[in-house]
Amino acid sequence: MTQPRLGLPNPGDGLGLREEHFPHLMSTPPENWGVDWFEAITENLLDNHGWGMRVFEHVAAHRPVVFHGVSLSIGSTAPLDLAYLGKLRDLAERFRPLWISDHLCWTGVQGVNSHDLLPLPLTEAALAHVADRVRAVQDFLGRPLIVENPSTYLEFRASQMPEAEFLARLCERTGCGLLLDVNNVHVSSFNHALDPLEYLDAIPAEHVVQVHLAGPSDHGTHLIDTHDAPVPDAVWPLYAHVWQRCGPVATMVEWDANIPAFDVVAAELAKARRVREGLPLAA
Amino acid sequence: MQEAILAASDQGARDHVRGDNRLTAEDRIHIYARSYRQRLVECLESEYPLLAGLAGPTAFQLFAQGYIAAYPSRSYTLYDFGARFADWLDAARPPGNPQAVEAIPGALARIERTRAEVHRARGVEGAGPAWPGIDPAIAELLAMAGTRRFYRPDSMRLLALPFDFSEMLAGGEPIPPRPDPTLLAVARANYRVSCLPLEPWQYDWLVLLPDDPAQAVPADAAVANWLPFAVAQGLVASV
Ligand SMILES: [Fe+2]
Repeated sequence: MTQPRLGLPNPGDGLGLREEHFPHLMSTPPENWGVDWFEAITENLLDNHGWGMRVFEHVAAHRPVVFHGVSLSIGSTAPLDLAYLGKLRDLAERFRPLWISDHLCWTGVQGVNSHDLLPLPLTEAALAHVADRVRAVQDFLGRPLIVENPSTYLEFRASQMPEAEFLARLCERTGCGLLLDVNNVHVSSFNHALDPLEYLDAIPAEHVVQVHLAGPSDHGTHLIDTHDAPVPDAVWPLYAHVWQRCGPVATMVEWDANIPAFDVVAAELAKARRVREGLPLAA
Repeated sequence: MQEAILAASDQGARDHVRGDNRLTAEDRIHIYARSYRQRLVECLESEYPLLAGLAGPTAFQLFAQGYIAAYPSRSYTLYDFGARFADWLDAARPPGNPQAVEAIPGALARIERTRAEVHRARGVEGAGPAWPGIDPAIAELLAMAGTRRFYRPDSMRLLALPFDFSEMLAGGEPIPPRPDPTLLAVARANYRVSCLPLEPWQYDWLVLLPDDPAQAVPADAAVANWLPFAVAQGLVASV
């Protein structure tokens, strides 16, 4: 029987560390940050000996941190990038993040990186392939990999199972954890005319280690995962549902474009607590 | 699928991707193709803001699209993506006069790329004073008089350019450069990156300075007066 959150801690409510907020964090005493933990983009830290690393050192000295990657390309047919993984392992030894996450996707083949989170055909063969690679990464890093569901804009004809089932079986086979991005469930469900609650109910609750919340952009025919807006109204009930099934679990708001002041993002994060307590969104 | 995204091609879309009455298979692939290009253009815009301002949106888009097609990213990090932009701009212009107007984008891109690299390079911040407890200015004087040896930190890069961009660099406004050869140091001190014009003798001395502290050489008497400034600006560090 798997323990809740794979036995990993619940550090509370967190935010993504963004350059726009460096001045605020460096000039505000940590006790006034109003945020329990931070998520750093792995690729922003690798090879960085500048101000960004200095700020991260400061943040990591005062709060738990997690690493969130975008270049692992766990679904690719290209060999795993051992240079990348080696640097990631060194960084993890230095900062001891609570966990390391990346996405269920591929980013490129033949040496090219699209820097996008491209969807996989959800087939038995892909599942076996991804499971092998997740195990290899976990062996290399010496810790469970936390896998995030991406936003998707297309589905392959070849797919044989829903994404939630693919993730559930991946967890079962590898013991990996899940970063459940509730906004991505909303976006993908809208784009493919699926039921988000059905998706959430198919996710193995005890593997969910972290939750992402974010605001997409509405293009009429489809939603795009732009992280440039407040969390939409439709996502909060889904989050409440996730909390019922998987909580208490680390919750985080992602804001990556048109980034407002730190306090505005922190206020968005505070809404999560109100939702958990069954209070109206606005104070 | 990668080819479809990189080339925004529709070939075989319907065979592999599901469409519906809102979005066809082609529409769905195009969402990825568009965001692929947009992400890389935005990456270049944020790394090359002065060039984007000077060239204007139409020309910059042409530069960016040409570069994306010629050098798709092959690194796990977007920080590497723009590394060859200046080389590509130089190669794409008609050969000849190094001070021709067509040579401006490549020269400016070289400054902006260097600034980006210096921003993340291994610097000398936090190295600690060599004489703890002694006023830094006095410590520096002691160093000049004594046996202190200097080296070039990775957070300092030298550039020799056919144009003088100092007005643009000072104000951040896209003011066209003057066609005067310039020697520049791009250096970081206290995590601030600056572009400092150099005299030929300063440039020559820095060029000869090793970047390996173990190989560091004593300061030349002629540069002794300039050294405190050079140390404060992060141009040189001492062993
Ligand atoms: Fe996410």
